[in-house]
Amino acid sequence: MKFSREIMKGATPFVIMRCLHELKQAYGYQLMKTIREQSDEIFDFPDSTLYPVLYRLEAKGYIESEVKEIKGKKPRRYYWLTKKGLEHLGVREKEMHHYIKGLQRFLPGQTFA
Amino acid sequence: MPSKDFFKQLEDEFKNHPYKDRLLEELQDHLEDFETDDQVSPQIKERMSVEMLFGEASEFKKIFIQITDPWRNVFFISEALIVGIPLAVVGVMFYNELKTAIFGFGKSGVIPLGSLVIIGLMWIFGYVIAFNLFTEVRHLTNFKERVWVFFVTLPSTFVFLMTILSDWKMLISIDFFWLIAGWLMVQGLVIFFGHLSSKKKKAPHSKKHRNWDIFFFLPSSFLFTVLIFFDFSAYPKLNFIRALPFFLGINILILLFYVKKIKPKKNLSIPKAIGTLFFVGGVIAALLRAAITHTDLDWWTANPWLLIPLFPIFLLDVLAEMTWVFSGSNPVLRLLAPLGIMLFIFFQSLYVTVRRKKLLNDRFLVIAYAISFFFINTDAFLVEPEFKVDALKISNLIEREELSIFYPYVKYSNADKDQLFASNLDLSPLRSHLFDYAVTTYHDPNEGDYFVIENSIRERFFISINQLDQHFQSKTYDQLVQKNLFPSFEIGPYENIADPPSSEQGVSEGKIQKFLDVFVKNQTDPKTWLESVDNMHEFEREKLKNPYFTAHDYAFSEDKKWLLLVIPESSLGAYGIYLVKVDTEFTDSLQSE
Repeated sequence: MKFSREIMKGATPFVIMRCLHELKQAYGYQLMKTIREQSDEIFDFPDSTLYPVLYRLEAKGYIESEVKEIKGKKPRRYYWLTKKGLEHLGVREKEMHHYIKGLQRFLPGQTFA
Repeated sequence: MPSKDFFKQLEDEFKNHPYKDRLLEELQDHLEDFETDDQVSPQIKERMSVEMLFGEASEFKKIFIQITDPWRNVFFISEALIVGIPLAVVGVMFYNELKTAIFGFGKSGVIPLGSLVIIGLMWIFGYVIAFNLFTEVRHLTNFKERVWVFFVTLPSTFVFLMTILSDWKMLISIDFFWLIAGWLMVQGLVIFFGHLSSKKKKAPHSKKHRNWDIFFFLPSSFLFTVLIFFDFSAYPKLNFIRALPFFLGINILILLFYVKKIKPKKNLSIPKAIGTLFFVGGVIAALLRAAITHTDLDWWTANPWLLIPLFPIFLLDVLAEMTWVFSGSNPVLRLLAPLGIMLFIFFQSLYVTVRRKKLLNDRFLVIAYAISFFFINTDAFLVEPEFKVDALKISNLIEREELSIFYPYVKYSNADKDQLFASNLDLSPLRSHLFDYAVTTYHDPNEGDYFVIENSIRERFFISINQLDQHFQSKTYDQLVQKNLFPSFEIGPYENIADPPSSEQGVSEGKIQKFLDVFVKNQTDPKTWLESVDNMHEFEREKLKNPYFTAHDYAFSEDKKWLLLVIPESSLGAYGIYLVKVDTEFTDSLQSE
């Protein structure tokens, strides 16, 4: 199912940062694959979304990147959260949690008090 | 995995984009990871194209521009300028060619039919381009929609077309050149902006909104261009340079106090906020300008709170000044034109500010109209209609209905350059003033004496002194007044005056003649004289205290009966060119008294 741009606009950076937090560090393909698997393929970001968002987050100082060679694999650009990113993620997590909690009350099947 | 062309396309799309190399590198890695991923079945790998994996190359650019390039508006403005300016130049060249073909340079007289042809052609030329591009901007690719929108725009278009035609003499005289150039430039800018944004956004708003856009946009964009470039050509362009620091200063102040408040609440983007600030700043600047120009600064310093209730008066003043700009013979237009302009600009700015927050070209519109609002207001205040030296303000003559009388005496020509230089006129000391007017006299062996006005772009206007004499000899004072040649209290006496001036007029007359007397008898440099005079009427003295009110340049006719005078009229550098008739008999009688 494809989500509308409005819905994904705020969620995409959050999901990416959350994923980076769990993985500690990750490269683009790894991130995309992890997000897809972790979300049971609900989220399947196209690359044209993933990389621009990564660059924007880096420009904001929430993540950093560097080309690294890990465990004998070919060199790749890895991304990880900065301290500023971690703080931002904390705020966003609370916000998102609260938001979803509220949103659930309005989903079909919920009865209004 | 076919379609390696994807990367080539991506390179083309991005060209000099700062993220290009990095993105290409990462996508190559990504592709390699996909191809070597054991969890992806060979069938999927076989089936999956690069485009399916990555999406369209153009999609990358679109998203990148949206989220990684906060300076995109600046780039778009630059691009728009690159397109808009040549468009304006082409318009100007087109007009010049037509003008040359129909009038011929150096010939006197006006050919009404030819003028109408020019206006008609230029209007159609500009309008068709604008209309077509504009409709493209607004995604009206459907022919039926275009036709429908044309009819929507028709009434307002008709109104402004009639306005133009009612003042066609004014337009062809001095300003049509700038008018068309400006209009094309503005249209080019806006259209190009819209064009760019239309490529990046799918039809973002409803048909209803589109129609309102068009209804508001075309007529008023033309009208504000009329005003801006009318003033630009009637007054020196130095206005802009001098006004800019003041204008920016006001905006920076507002920025400090205003942007923080509006941004979180209204969710305004930075360009939108800046546009809004320009608008607000323009209004405030204009009002302050009015306060400073029209009143005694000391008094206002003592009573600053009185500025607030007086603001509407200043606004009315703006409207009053606008009637000068549109002072055709039609009284309804004289009344409605300024009001219409103000309302158009106000509602348009309001409309795009409030209702249309997303489109890039709207942001530009807000800025453009805000700036225009500022200029219109400021330039309106530059004129001080109550102060007219014994003079015919040439620009007024040309602007107003008397053009048909005076046009034959004013020859505009670049073709006469050689002739002018051949007569050894020395205008060189005055040419250093970039945005000023220089005046001098020129003797033509066959046609007699001329006043020559040269402006900053070296256009020369020739005024036949002989014909001026003839004109005034054949007119009575009443005739002159009735024809509204002298918009305020001036003047006299002229030969053949049937009805002597009243006592009140006599006062003015006296001081005017005193003014002339000093010029004529002492041959004093007007600048020195204006600074030292101490026996003028109170009103005059107050005006002369203005440090900016010093004669910039002047020239006497050979017989000293005529004086051409250039006087800065305000601190922002507006110049008035006055043609002063010196009555030596009256001067002599004053002297004998």
